[in-house]
Amino acid sequence: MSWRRRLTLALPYLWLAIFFVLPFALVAKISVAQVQVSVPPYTPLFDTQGHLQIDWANYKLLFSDTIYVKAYLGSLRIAALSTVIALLIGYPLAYAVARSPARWRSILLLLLVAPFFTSFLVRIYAWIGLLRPTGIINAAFLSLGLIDEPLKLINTEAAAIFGIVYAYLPFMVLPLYARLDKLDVTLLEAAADLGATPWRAFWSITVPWSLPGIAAGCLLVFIPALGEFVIPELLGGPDTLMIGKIMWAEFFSNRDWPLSAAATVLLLGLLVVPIMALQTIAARAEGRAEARA
Amino acid sequence: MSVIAVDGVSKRFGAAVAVENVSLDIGDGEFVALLGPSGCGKTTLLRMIAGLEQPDQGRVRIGGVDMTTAPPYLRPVNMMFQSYALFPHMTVAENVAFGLKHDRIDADAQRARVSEALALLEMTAYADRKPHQLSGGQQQRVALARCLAKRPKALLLDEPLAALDKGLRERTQLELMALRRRLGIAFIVVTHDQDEAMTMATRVAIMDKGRILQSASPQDLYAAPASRAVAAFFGDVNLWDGVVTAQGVDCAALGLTLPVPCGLPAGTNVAVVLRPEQLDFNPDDEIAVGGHVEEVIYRGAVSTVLVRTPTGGLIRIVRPNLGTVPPVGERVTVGWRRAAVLVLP
Amino acid sequence: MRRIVLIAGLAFLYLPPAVVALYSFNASRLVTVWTGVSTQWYGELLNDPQIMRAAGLSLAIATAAATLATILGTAAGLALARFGRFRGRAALTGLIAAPLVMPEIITGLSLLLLFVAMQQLLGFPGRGIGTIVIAHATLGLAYVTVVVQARAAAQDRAIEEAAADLGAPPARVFWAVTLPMLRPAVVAGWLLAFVLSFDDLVVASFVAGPQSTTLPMVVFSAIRLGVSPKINALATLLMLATAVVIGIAVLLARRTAPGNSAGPTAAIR
Repeated sequence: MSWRRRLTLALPYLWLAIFFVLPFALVAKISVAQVQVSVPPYTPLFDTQGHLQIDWANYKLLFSDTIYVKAYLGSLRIAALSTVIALLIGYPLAYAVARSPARWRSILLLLLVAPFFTSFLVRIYAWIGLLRPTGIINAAFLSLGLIDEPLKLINTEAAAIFGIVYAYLPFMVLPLYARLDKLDVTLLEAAADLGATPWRAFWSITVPWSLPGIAAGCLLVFIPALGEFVIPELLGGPDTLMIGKIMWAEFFSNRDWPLSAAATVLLLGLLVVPIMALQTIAARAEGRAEARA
Repeated sequence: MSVIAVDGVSKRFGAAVAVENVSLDIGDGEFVALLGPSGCGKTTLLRMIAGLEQPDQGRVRIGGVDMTTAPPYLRPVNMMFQSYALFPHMTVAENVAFGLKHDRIDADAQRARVSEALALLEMTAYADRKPHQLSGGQQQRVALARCLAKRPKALLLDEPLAALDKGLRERTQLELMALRRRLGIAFIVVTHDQDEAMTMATRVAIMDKGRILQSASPQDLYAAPASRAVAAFFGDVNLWDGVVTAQGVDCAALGLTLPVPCGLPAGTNVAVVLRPEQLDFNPDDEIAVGGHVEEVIYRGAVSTVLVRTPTGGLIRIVRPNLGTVPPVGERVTVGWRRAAVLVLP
Repeated sequence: MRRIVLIAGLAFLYLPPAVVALYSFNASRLVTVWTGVSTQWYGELLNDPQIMRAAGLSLAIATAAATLATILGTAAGLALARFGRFRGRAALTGLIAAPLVMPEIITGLSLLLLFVAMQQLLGFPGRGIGTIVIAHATLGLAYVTVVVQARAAAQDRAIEEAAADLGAPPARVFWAVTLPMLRPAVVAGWLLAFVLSFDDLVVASFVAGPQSTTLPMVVFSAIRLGVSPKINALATLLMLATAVVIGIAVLLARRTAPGNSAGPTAAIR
């Protein structure tokens, strides 16, 4: 390999090693420290005599204090529910785009994906305006006489789930579309020719074919949803417990960096399997693309 | 002196051998075609001459200078790529001028060379277009002009006609031949099409599995192939197995012994080669075999007649469509001269 | 059926922001009561020094982060598309993809801990604009890589070989042929990285210093206090700006690669 190539490779490699991999090592290190009033606000890994100081107290706390356990379980539940709902909404959308006339497909896909690039906060903010007690939905229902007093739409777990589905729907639609778009339509024609109803052809051909897309889409929603902070904070209210909120509070309000670090390590632990699965799917897709080329 | 001398060159890609111990001398003004099926190593050989691949063994000399390890940008040869590889973001004139920036000639001379090359290929009117605004044939002319502006010692062409439709292909063949005669430099063309090689080249090197089987003029290759493989690959052919006997060559497919001397010991397995246009429905010829017409393939000016012999062999005969072609099912006698038979080891 | 699904889906995605945009022109301070068309909130917005300062800072950070991400991402994209099966390829692919999906709170916290440790050991970088730029460049790198890699892989290698064959040494091949041909992808990648940085709240909140309050941070604290017509106006402007940037990115991706369904979609595929 020439020196030019080495340099081209070394640049992003070094950058990611320093600014993406190394930080995780530090998180692990600080997660076994204790909080103290200093700059930075945690005990060093080695004390003044050079002895290693490892303290598992943060982890013990995370496993024993019900609020943390509840937050992790809450995150898992909310992320899982959001993923399923996003799939139920995203699949028909991706399917509809894939079955649209070719000249409409890319513009439709772009319309479905573009919101991802418009301000995340603005999109969540829009729902606050719709859902709050004096918001548009309640105002409309009240004026129509459907309800007598405002419904509690915001500051609920359902609102948080709804917000996550709304925010991450593009992540679901894209891989599904990418897969469905490559489905050979003659397979469905052959199935129909052999006597399969459209419904049976869908379940026995289209769905199995789209499984890699379903898996990729679900993981792309589930992984960021598990660590989500902004949506539960703004739409979920105080009763919605998610680990992202707890970490934010521990870090910014209580300034307990070591506990936040330990919480991060546990969250990463939950994410190892989904992230590995996602990378496997991506590698397989790349392998397929190479085999075709 | 040869302008390009390839000497004992080999190239492997992993476990696969692409080119094996190939030697080839190309003289000034020659039009050499590297002919063979896909994967035979012809493109790899061309790319090693251009410097786009490095040989594992052997030497490549260009204009008498050893250039085995020289990078492509220092070699005085230029290549026209199969995809033409025009720079999409540059105009036609910028494409043609691209290579001159490194030739240490002043701006006026550069402009002159660009106009000259564009004029040679009749592309002057398109100088300010971008490649995507041109037809396939025009793109090819730009690619040629871009090479020729560099005044290379040899022009390398990788499947130059593959992307053109049939009518344009024939015209371009003639133009390439005329261009080579006019410029007097060597052309080396890679092709898988034997008609193309036969039409254009002064010399054809037939390649298979990384080796050159035979390198000779098209006439010599057709009339005197060196091996069964060359005979089978180059031109339409009847090719049967035979065994040398005291009387000549015993050919089971024809059910007779051909009275031709071959100088090989009795019992040797050989190939019997007969070109289909050398045969006729003439029972009085030096050698004659009976059979019935199994199929007639009409091809316009000529027809190919397939005759089945009583011993199960199939004879291909090409006859002009002058009313002498027998119908399917008719019993015929096929005859030919003794001198038409080639016996190959 | 297909149309109903598509219309319902697009309505779900676009109606809420449309309502925000509509009410940003409401004359009333009460956000649910429509009293007439007015642009007074836009005027107030432009005269709010805190918001204007934050917007300026965010623009500067996004410009710097996108530029850095583009340099690194172009190198990575080229390496992945062109260098074949080099050692560590799988690792690099994984490293580049990971920040795309990693919850922001993890990336933010771990980067902050790194910056603090670096400050302790090396004395730099102090928390502030610089650290936000580095963090955002790390996030944007992935997007640029994906877009550039897709384009570089689709390009005819023979074009660069032709340049070398015509006498161009490797450096000129890169600057005169490779880079100009990648330009649409590079620009699209830059725009994506820019939008990503301009929009980021969580990571910036972790790594920012006390003086470096970006626009999303201002918006976030304002939203926490509730809905206001001024924020409606700001939200509308933000949506408009991103729509324009994405539009440019798409046009660029289209212009040189007809039929290609746009750079942004390639980025999260």
